[in-house]
Amino acid sequence: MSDKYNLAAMLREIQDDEETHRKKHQQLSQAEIRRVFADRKSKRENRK
Amino acid sequence: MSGEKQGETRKHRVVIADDEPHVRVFLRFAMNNMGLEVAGEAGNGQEALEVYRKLKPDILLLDLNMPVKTGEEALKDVLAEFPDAVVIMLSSSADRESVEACAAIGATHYIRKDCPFEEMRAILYETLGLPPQPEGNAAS
Repeated sequence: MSDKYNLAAMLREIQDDEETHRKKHQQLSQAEIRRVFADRKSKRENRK
Repeated sequence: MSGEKQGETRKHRVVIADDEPHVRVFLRFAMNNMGLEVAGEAGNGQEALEVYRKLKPDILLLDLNMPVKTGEEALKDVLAEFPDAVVIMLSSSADRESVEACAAIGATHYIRKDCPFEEMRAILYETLGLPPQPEGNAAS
């Protein structure tokens, strides 16, 4: 029983890793890049 | 008027850093077309830092993948010496990790090399605080 849960946990971990990898290497469009920079700018301004 | 400050004749100065000569030729053409002056060029990250020190341009266009010193390393070095430097990254690849890393280091923007001319001009003009140009209206 516990093996089954461990396998499920392992599978979830693998899926999470794949998702993280996919997000990291996802190609952004110019519009998405604009959003990344706009978000960062607004966060910087909020901190001031 | 494009690329110039109102009431002044000085053109905004740009330094282009890219290891591929044909990309520099294309960018020089594009900058001239936008009414911006290409003050200098560099073929790698180390040269980019040296040319920046010498010319202190309004904008440094910095390719990400370059020999000797990468664009990311050059970005860190330029900003360490000149915290107010305006550095726009250029790359043919725009994976989230690289874009976010450059934004975190302090790049002003990031332009994909396949970005249309009008979009590139809009980003540069916005960065320089210049009014946007109507679509298809090339600067003299």
